[in-house]
Amino acid sequence: MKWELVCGLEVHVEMNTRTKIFCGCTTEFGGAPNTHVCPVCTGQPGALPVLNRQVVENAMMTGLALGCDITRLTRFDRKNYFYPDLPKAYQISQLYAPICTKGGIEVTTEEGKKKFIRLHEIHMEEDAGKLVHDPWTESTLCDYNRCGVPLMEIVTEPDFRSAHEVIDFLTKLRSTLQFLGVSDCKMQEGSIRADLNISVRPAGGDKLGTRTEMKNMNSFKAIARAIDTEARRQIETLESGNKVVQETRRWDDNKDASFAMRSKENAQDYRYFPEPDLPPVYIDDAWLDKVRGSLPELADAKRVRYREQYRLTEHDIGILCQSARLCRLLEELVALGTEPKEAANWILSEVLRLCKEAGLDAGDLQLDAGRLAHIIELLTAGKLTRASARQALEAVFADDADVDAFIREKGLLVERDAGAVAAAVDQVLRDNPDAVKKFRTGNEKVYGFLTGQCMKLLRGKADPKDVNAALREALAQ
Amino acid sequence: MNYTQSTALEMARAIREGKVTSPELVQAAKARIEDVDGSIRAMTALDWEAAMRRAEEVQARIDRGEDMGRLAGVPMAIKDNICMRGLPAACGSKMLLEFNPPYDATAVDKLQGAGAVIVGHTNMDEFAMGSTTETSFHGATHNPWNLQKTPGGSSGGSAAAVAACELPCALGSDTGGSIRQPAAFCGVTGFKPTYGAVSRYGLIAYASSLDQIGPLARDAADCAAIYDIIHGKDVHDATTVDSVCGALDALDGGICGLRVGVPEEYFAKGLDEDVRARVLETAETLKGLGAQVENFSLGMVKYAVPAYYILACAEASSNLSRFDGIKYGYRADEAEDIVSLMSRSRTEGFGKEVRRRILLGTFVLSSGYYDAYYVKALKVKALIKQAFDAAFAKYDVILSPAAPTTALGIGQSLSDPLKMYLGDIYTVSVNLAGLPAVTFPCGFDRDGMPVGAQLIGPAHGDKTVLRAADAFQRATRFHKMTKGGAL
Amino acid sequence: MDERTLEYIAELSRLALPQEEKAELLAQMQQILDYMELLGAVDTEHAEPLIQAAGLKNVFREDVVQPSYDRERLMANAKKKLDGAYQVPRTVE
Repeated sequence: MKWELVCGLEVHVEMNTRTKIFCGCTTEFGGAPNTHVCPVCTGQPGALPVLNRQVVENAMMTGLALGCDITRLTRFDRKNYFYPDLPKAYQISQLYAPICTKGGIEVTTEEGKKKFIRLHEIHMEEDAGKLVHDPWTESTLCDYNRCGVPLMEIVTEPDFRSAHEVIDFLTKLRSTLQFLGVSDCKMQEGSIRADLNISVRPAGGDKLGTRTEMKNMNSFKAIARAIDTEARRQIETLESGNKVVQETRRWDDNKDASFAMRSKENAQDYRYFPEPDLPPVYIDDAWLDKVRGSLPELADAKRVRYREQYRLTEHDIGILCQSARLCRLLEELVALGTEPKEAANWILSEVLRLCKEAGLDAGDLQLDAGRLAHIIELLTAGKLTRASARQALEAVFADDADVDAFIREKGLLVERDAGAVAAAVDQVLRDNPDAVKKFRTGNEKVYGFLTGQCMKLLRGKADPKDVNAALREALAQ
Repeated sequence: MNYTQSTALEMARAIREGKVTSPELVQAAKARIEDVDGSIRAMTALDWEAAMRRAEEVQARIDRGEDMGRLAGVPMAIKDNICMRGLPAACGSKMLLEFNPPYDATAVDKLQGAGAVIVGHTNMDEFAMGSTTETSFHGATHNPWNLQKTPGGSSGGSAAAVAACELPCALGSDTGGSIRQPAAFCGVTGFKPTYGAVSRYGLIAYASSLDQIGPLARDAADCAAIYDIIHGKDVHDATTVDSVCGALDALDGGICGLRVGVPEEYFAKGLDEDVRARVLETAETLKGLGAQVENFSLGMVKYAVPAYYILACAEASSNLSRFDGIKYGYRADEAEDIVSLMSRSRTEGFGKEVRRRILLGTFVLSSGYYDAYYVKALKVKALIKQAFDAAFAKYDVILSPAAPTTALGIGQSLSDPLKMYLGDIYTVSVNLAGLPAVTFPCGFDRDGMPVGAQLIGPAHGDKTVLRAADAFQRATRFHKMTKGGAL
Repeated sequence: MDERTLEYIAELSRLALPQEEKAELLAQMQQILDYMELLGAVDTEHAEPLIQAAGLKNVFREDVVQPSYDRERLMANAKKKLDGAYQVPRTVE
């Protein structure tokens, strides 16, 4: 029999607000255990939540960008369960009136066809704390620094039919969230995580099979592996005449396999009810319009603009528009007067090379556009050679060096000394009579050698254009 | 001045006039408490050293001519479920016996900012679940009017401390009558403000949508003065509202033309004859002061108690889940896994009534019962509020008994929880509708136990109910009859 | 309410049910639930659930960082701690 995969996603996205969803503690990653905490996020008796406005606006922006319906009267609910990473023993989340419903993302199937993946809803909630096993005491240690970090849970309909579609969806979703500036989407820090609902059925069927839920994937690769592995496991189960058990499974990346979680963790009755400590959120037209007006330009719009306004090549646009950070750098450079093509060239050749060498994700790039713009300006004005410009950028990239000071210190500035250039050309012609002869008899190849010799004598501090002009003139005589 | 005969406002005035100092009042409070609290058992935690330091500090500022407000320098107490640094807040529970709050409740902050001297915590039913102050892990509090009787609850410690003249006033909390009923049983005045008027930040939650902090004192004027200090919008409590202020200044004794509605249902079967008689006499007194008193049918009355217990228990089951032995509170020894650590800590740390309400609340929220119980109760709550809205279109205040009886004997009601719940019939609907209400002494029953009347106002009618109660007290002397002597 | 339901909600509540309390508790719970059935008589067809009597909406904080609490102060009430963390029996590997 031919089988078909049916998969849905629950994507948890940590927002990049400065503070937590219900208190003023910082959301900064890291920090010693239990140092980013207060009575509210550690669930002290008598403490109360107060909603961070930015969290609501981030969710609204996401919903608008993904074509969702925005719920005008949205509320929070309590999801009750006991676990040591949840200090109140309830998570403040949204069940009955989530902030966004419907909407979706268009993906490309393996066959290259366009397909619309529908969203069920987006809701806001708080993150839980971190539990770490302590091998010395054989106990578990609870750190509540992450408790209360705002999350968006983006829930899709079971529209995926292959791992390929899931990965394409997640790539596009991540790009959108990054362009919106609502999340850093760093998988390694757990700021975007996905749970999968996986089932299989006879191909073309319309009834859903029993599904399993897969948790704990921390990379796109793991997600693709988990889907394929779990679909195969379910098919084998069914083909051997057994039934798929509805359960939650944990993906183990090291073992490249998933395992059923203990049944105790499976039995859940969350007893949701409206959160009495938080008044509802009413989103009126004015607020919605304001947020809509503040939506940043997303990748699709940038592609068009980069083509029509900046005249960049499709190839360059393709790479730039994968990263909100690179687009921002490009636009900052252009705003500082750099010619768009030149700016794109610098980003795609030099900046990306440096990132790659440093093992840095472009999204984490810390580069002051002003400094790069200044370097390009000096280059264009003929005050830096291309090699020196590269050297200066490396210094800026590595330790945010001051461009002018660095150039002065290293003596990189091009010298406009016509006498020195003429003297150097003279000497090179005198020292290399063979080469000169070859050139004059039509061998253009040696020209590069002669220029190189001149630049060497000038210790690279002359403008290649000046050298070029003087050399051509001398050779023509 | 006579410590046991004075109200909080009189004490503060005496301090301002140099007739007495704040430290002297704290000394007097200490002496009185040491004298009588052995038999009353109203106080659960006391810190005289801190209180004396605080009194001296406040006195120094008053001496420098600083205007610290109308209750500066007065000793008072707060209920055992209100957080204050340096004072263990046990909520009357073994669970929190050693809990030292890491922060101050907003109400405490405001009182201290106004120069009040908080000397300790008062006893209460465990986690405010009860109406007798017998379920406290600290042991039962006794009614100063008859030591064999309960002071009511759950703010029984606050009511008894004021009634025994240990302190002129105290804060309580009211989820279904927990300020008003003990105030009535102890012959003092208790005020539950409009929901949201006083911040709940730092009040250890029982039922978040119903809980409200309020004062218990000798008279309505003291209650108004405390309300004026503690009310107001709070950045730490999203359910607080911009509320009316200047309650004390509004007490002008004038209730001429005040429209008083008396719900027929509140005087039906089950109401003690003496209580009925005293409350009807109160109506006559108000009439004599120029009020227009009229009987009417309120409606929905018999549904308030079941709706209340569904909602309160549901919220409580969630609010009390945080007590799992990990972050604070009782922790069972040698639990081998996380489930048994939580389960044993909770079973050993909570008393019977608390466990019963958690189970009830868990049940009404559980899968398959949520709509039938919880959502149904929310709808009934809406209809109860509508009934009050309709009544307040015709009346300025509603007069009722505070409770169907006077104080019960110790041990009399614990065995039958349902009977105990039914005793809340006159108070719980006020919490469901989020209204302000005050109870005040209006006479005595055949055994000499105080009877309390209740005045309920529309939302934000806090000033109106206090003004009406104050007008009644200007014309009567029941609130002056205290147990200030030997006990 | 039957005994199985009672045991189920006790497990959900993380409460143990002492054997000697079970029968009495079951009877009391049943009595209280019977009493709550009274609400069935109310016509609520046209009533909207009233979650919050005050009718507030849109209460927010701005996204401005406030200093966090001192760890020792906040954790002073915890019975078991290790390396600045709350300590519980082994829950994760």
